[in-house]
Amino acid sequence: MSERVPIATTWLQGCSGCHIALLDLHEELLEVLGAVDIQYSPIVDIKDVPHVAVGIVEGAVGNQDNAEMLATFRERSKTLVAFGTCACFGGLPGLRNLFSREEVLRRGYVETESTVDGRVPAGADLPALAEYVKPLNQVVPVDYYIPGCPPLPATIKHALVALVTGGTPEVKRRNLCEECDRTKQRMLVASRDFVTDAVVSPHELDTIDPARCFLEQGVLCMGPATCEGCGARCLAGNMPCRGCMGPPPDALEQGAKSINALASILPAGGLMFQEDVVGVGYRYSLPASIYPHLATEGGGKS
Amino acid sequence: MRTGLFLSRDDGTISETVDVDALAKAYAFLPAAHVYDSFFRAADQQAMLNTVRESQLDAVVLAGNSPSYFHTVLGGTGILEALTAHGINPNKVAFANLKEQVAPAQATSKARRLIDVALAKVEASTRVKSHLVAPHRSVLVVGTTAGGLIAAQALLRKGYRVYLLEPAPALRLQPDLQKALLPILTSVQSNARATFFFAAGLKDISGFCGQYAVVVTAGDGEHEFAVGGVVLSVGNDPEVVGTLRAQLRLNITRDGKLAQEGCQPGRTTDPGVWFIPGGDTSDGLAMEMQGAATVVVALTTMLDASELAHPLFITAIDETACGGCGTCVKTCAFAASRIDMARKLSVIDPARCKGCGNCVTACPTGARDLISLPRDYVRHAIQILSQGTTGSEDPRILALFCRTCGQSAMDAAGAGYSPNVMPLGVECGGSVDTQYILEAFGKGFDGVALFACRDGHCHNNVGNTDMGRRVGLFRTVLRSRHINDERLRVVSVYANDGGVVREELQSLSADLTAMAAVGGRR
Repeated sequence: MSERVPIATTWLQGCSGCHIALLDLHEELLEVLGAVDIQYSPIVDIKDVPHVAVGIVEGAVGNQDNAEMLATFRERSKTLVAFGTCACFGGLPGLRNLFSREEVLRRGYVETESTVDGRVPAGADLPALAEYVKPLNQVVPVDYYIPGCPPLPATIKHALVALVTGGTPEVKRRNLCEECDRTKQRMLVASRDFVTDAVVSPHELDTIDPARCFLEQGVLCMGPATCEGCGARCLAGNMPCRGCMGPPPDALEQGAKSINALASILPAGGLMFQEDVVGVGYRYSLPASIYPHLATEGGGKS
Repeated sequence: MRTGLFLSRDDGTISETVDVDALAKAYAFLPAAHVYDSFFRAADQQAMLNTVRESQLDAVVLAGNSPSYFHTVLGGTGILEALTAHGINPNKVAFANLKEQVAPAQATSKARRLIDVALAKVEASTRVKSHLVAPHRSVLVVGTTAGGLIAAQALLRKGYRVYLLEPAPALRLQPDLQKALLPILTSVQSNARATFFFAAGLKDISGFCGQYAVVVTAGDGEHEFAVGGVVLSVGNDPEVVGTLRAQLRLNITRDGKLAQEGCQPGRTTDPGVWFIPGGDTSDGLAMEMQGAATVVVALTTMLDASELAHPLFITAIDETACGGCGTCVKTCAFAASRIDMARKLSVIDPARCKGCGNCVTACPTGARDLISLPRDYVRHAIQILSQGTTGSEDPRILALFCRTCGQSAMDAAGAGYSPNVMPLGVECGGSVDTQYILEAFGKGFDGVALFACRDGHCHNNVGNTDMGRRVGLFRTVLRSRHINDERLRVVSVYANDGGVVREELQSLSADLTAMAAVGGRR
């Protein structure tokens, strides 16, 4: 046992899907367990976080408990890995950054349609909800990132094996078009007309051509503004990319970059007709945006 | 890197508002930081070049006049050429415009920030490579007006091959001039080195001074040939001028005429493309003859050289970050991008790329960058400009302006706006990345103003269009963060619209103050 590398895992504000993806390694998990010793994890029953070689953290930082657990992990892990899109970029829970904490609590505990006489829970024994959701690297230094909602089991295995054998996980820098097999025609023609006359949702198409670029079919696909590494599974399933891998590392952020790119590909009127430029461009990475939350009162005077 | 800072008193116009000597002391940590009376006088230039040599400089920041002044005013380019000859790479020269962009209030502290930005520019820029061209001794003359024919004859006499392209089906020369110019016309027509194309169009032109590839369509099909330079003599036919403007990236005046660049008659922003001035006045013929002679001398002086160096201020591609998505192909107005499908990588045609930065903005992976103004520089500049205080309580505004109309209009505005307006030049409206706008707000600016060309005037044809599209979509992003999108102002300007720039910046400043009174950023 002593030759196995000690690791610890935890989940913060997330859905546990990344841990499920780890279990999705199925029998290959046995190979991984031959190399690592999981000394602390939601899937093992141990109370205290030990000192480990690799700490793996799923989920974003959304409350005081998350922040404390992350600080403990950072302190006790030689190498800290942001595991999954929430940990890397804030993920879906990060969309609450478009509202104030008070609005979020009121909506959740008082205004929901099924609630009668609701009240916002409070008390010293409850971890306080953070003003905004943050990805791990806005709270502590992070050594490696494994994005994905959830990450591919194969990617998890590759990264874990690399880390415990003293290597470094591969860093992907291209966009999803690199991994997507759909053919492009109009996207490759050097003319300034849009690749389509109108922008539509997938359900508005009678048939979706499974072999042709979604943009050329008028469907907004986040692939160009999204980092490769997922194997383009959604595309293979005939659905457009929603951007869960987050931005390629050389782009600063996903939302503004997708606007910059799509402005000369799809008719802007059609794009605005989607009426949710933010929900499309920032669905998974709002807390990692250059401007990651609401403007603060009197902001800009600092 | 060894960077020198040269400050100009500009014979007093700068030093009366900015304490240039104090600035030289503040930058004494550089290998050289000296003050000169003027950047354009022989003795001062000699002293500057001596400093370059003695201090072994490989980068220079010129803090004084506007960059336009160096590029368009006769003699201005002289110092730039001399610096290059002394081993300073053209991409390692940066400007801090202390003359037009520093208001009397808080002048010296603002000047420091503009100098810091210029230092960041030379720091972040790589050395630009030059393409060496053996100039073709052939010229494309567009328009068979009197000026065009006179230029053609002069070029033929110098031994050049001449291609005459006429959009109309017959000579453009007015009938009353045909008799007067008959000897000239005959000598051109009978010269075997002259080729006429009537009812012809310029289908494509790529390359640069000394080496253009031209495709002309005429009645009998397409003709491809190479020329070293282009002479335009089309009068003021708005349709013809409009088409040529887009193909050759010409500047035009607000009434649609070809605009002269700098002090040399007939010069355009492209050193290989000239137009013959005159032709629309009563003494048109005399003007055209004079214009043709001047233009032929200027053009052939260049093309007679055995070799011309053309700095390749194009777009760089990081192949390890390119996924071959095709966004750059759809964005480029010059057909300079294509995807090499075998490698699934984007490829740039240096003969077509104008370095406008539109694809850099569009590239969703960040695989592209401008050699002239790298992305890291622009971000660093926004950070520098956001820091510290000028002492003024006015709202803080980042003013981004394009190199063509925006920069000229900012220059023309003087510093007739709040000292808290921080100017930052970008290549083109198309190179305004919406990420930069978010950065500006994130770094604490209260407002952002974008100054770019009016429709039909953009040097890169579509830069202002694409900026408009992007900003239109981007406003939703601002509103989602509860940032009032009126904090972002887009202004189209003519090159001499100094008054418009002043008014817009003053009114934006007033609007931002009013918003602050209502509360926060909303």
